[in-house]
Amino acid sequence: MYRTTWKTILANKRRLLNTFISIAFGVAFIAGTFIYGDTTAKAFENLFANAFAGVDINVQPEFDSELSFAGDTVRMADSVIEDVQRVGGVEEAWGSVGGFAVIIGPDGEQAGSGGAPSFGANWPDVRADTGFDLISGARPTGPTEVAVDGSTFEGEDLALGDTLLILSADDRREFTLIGVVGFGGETSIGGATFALFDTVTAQVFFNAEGQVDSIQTTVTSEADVADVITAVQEVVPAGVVVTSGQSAAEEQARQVNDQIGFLTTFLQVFAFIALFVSTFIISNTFRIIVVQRTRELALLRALGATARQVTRMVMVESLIVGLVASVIGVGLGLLLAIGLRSLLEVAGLTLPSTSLQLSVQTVVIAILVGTVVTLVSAFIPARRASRVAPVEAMRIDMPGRRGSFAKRAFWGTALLALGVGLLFLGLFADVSLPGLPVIATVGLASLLTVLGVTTLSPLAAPFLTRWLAAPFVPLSNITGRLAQENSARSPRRTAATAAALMIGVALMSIAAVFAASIQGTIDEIFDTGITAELIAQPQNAFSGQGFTTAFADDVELIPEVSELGRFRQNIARVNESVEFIAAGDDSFTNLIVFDRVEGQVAGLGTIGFAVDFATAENNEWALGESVEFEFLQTGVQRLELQGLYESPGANGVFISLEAYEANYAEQLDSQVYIKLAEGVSLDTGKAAIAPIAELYPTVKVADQEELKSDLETQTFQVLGLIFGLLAMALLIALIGVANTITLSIFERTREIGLLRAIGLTRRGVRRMIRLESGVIAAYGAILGVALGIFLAWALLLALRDQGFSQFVIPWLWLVVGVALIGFLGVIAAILPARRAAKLNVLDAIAHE
Amino acid sequence: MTNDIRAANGSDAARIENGSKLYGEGTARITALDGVTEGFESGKFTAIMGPSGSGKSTLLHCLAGLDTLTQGVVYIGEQLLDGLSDRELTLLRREQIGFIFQAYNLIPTLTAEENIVLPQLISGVTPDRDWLDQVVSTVGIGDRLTHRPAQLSGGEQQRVAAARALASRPKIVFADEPSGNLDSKAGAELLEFMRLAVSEFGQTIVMVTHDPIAASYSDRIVFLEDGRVVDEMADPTAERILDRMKLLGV
Repeated sequence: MYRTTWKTILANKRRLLNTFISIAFGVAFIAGTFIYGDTTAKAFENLFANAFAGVDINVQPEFDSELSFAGDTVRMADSVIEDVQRVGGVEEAWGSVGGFAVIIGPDGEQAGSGGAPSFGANWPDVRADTGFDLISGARPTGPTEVAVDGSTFEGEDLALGDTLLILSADDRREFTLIGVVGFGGETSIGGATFALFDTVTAQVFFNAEGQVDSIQTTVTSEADVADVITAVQEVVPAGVVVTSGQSAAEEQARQVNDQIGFLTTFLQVFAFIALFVSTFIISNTFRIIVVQRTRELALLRALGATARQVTRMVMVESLIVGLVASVIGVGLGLLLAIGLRSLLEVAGLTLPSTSLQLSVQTVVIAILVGTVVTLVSAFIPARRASRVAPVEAMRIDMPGRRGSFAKRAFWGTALLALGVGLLFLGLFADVSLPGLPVIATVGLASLLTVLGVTTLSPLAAPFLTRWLAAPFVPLSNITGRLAQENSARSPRRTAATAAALMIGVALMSIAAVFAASIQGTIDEIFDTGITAELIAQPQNAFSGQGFTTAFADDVELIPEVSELGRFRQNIARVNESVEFIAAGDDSFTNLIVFDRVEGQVAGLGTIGFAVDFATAENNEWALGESVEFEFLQTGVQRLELQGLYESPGANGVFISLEAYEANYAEQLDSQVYIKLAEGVSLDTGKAAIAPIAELYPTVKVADQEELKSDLETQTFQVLGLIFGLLAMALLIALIGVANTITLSIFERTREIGLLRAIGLTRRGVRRMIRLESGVIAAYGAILGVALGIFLAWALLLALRDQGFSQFVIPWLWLVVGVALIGFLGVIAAILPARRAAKLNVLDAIAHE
Repeated sequence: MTNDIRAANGSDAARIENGSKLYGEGTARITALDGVTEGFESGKFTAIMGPSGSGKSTLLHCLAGLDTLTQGVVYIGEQLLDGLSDRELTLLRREQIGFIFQAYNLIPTLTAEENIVLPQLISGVTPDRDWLDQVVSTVGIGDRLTHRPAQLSGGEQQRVAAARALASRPKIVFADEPSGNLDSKAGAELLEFMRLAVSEFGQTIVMVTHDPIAASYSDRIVFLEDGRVVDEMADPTAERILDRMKLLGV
């Protein structure tokens, strides 16, 4: 019985082609994210392995990496180096110290891509290999010498002997370029810029006088590393960890990979969405094929095949298709991993890379997922195949099995009601299903809503597709009308095809509504929440937590400025979860608008904090409550809740600048709010600040409108990334549209033949099919937009407490999007339409 | 053979000159038509008969511009089909030729009326209302016009198809076993209507059939065997046809 399976697949190859492609693409995306993740992880491993090459022992203060914000570390006294050096078996010991160091190129602009960080460190004056190789020039010695990485050297067109301005967190100096450094054969580490100084210069420059971040040693050839580690542990202060160089490299790679792990997860979510979309296409194809083969299946049944054998036959077919497509998908995944890297780079995320890493695990997971998804999707059609009655072999017409209208309406409405109900309970009453967190409940509710809409969709499809095609009917004689009727003809097929598109479009719409609403919220914050006219912030988000406080000190002195508020940001563990901590001086609290305050937000001192009403309520805090905070540098501290506030411009935990200074090592301003003196125009004010800002190239001073548009750009960059990642789901769904069109052309071959015989031109046939395809695509897009708006509305309503005050629907975008997807549907049908138009009229009429 | 071509006879609605049609290559070569020359007179109902494989359907398809001859030429009226592009052939079929097929004659998504005027809808011209009413009432489906094909009986469907073939007042109507799928009563009604179309409206019809009763509605029968015209019969009756068929060894 299975001997014919392979032949059946080959005979159906055109019908299966699109299914094959959609499985392969879905699997490629899954494999691609794994490959990308593994490759990035491997790159970091190589990076740290290289950095620790030649290091036998690493000595470093232990700290809670969860509490480390923007590269914060805990340092130790450099006197420890001497203690370590004295331990028997230690050959050579040296300290490492580093921080952010922005190199200003000869053009006055910051060197590097802008997306990757700017690092600085010391080049230890030791004989051992420290991971840095001198490409040209000499090692920096003395307070005015610097070496830079090879990529920056070439990228900025530098020459040895050039004078470079370099900025650290709170220092700025000019250095003479004395050397060019490489890193184990590479000229750059993941696109970051690197500036290297001698140890004392680095300590001063990075505000670490008498301190180092870590100590590295080599051991003598006769010593045993493990023994030396034990001996070194004896002499270092408490809280300092001694490990082998190798495990330090692994540990640091692991920490970085943990931090970027969210990225892989984020990508995988989109990969699974794409695969989910392809299930609709797989299931649709097998359903159609089963219907089209009803007579053949019925004949098998009439000849004595059992129902189970028929099911199994279809399942074996799907197994082979799934398996072969998945294997090809893994191959495509390698290409896609490269594509993902480019996409993330465009979105400003540059990560180090190495040769593509295809692990056995990736291959197994991708093939397994692809095959299982295919099998599951084909199961219901396979079951239906078994229900073909032997008598159907004798029937001439193709059977169109119709489910009950009422049954479908009932189940669809029930699913939809359940989904929406659960959604509201989860979002607004914080009710969750037993054993599920609220977020999972909301996810499940969204899924039920999607299923409800999908179930009801066949009932709405005939009306909506007719309505969508209506504008084209008068434009195109009968072809428009035929397309209109054809798209409304198999509501279930149209609905299933549209559903695949609906999912991708719904997610895009959610993202678009979120982006527009975030933009609306930002506008709202600036318009009603902030009274400062100018705001200073870091030029580049990756150059550290902020910029030197000297900037604010200088600006505060000029007469055009009436008030200046300093704002800093870091993280701490509050009530067992890591939260952002905002800090500001009293002037800052004057420059943002509070709609309502209980207690106080200014004058909190070192022991008080304030929080917005909603957060207080969620944590069940009352004024006067003593709350435990855990900081990276100072450990557990208790702060008293002294103020509750509501402000369009701020939310979350707020402490005074004094408390910030007491608990955090680096003192950098994240933002400086500037209120101009009375009578000073915006332009005059900006002109007055400009000469100061020029001295601080990492600072950007902008008025509210400029900031709004900057933030808009950032929001849309993220939106672009999400759209890019959803493009695969959309592409698969469009292949699904082409697939459905191909299969319905196949079913309607005789009809097309008749139309051609009585005088429809080839062009007319093409136009009819393309329009039908466009209408199906537009229908899916409209459902998706409607669903997306609804889900975004519900989510935004639930996130009101988090500061999402606005709900903005970007109508223009959405309408243009629907039209565009309709157009893409037309494009998707170009090839099937061309094939249909080329059908031989006589063969078509004689077709069964 | 090209020197043998002469202008189509003015009274022929369709004409085939020295038409041959070959399928396949080498030993698998089949000669479906073998030097057929035949005219189909305007205003007459001609039946083409012959055993299975005699080439009668091929002849019809070539006459209708649905298939091309390997050799020889076909005229529809004065128009030589040879050398027409697919688009020109399509327009010719739309404007000058009507079709009635054995089965699957209608577009299921359109109403009976829309099916009838489909060729006009395709070309975007307004159908001649009076003529349409006349055709519809003659064919006897006036009360079924808003129905879809699935709601019509087989006989009704074929009559709608016949009405469609006449609606554009084509130069010639080709029918391929039009009553083949119908019971005898429905078949008789359809053939009666076709007969009426010829005698009352002056329509030209060429019909392929293997049914002597169906053929008896025609003015003239052309007998085909092995791709050649072997005989013809004017004013046939069912008995005479049967006798002739026995003679031809069908």
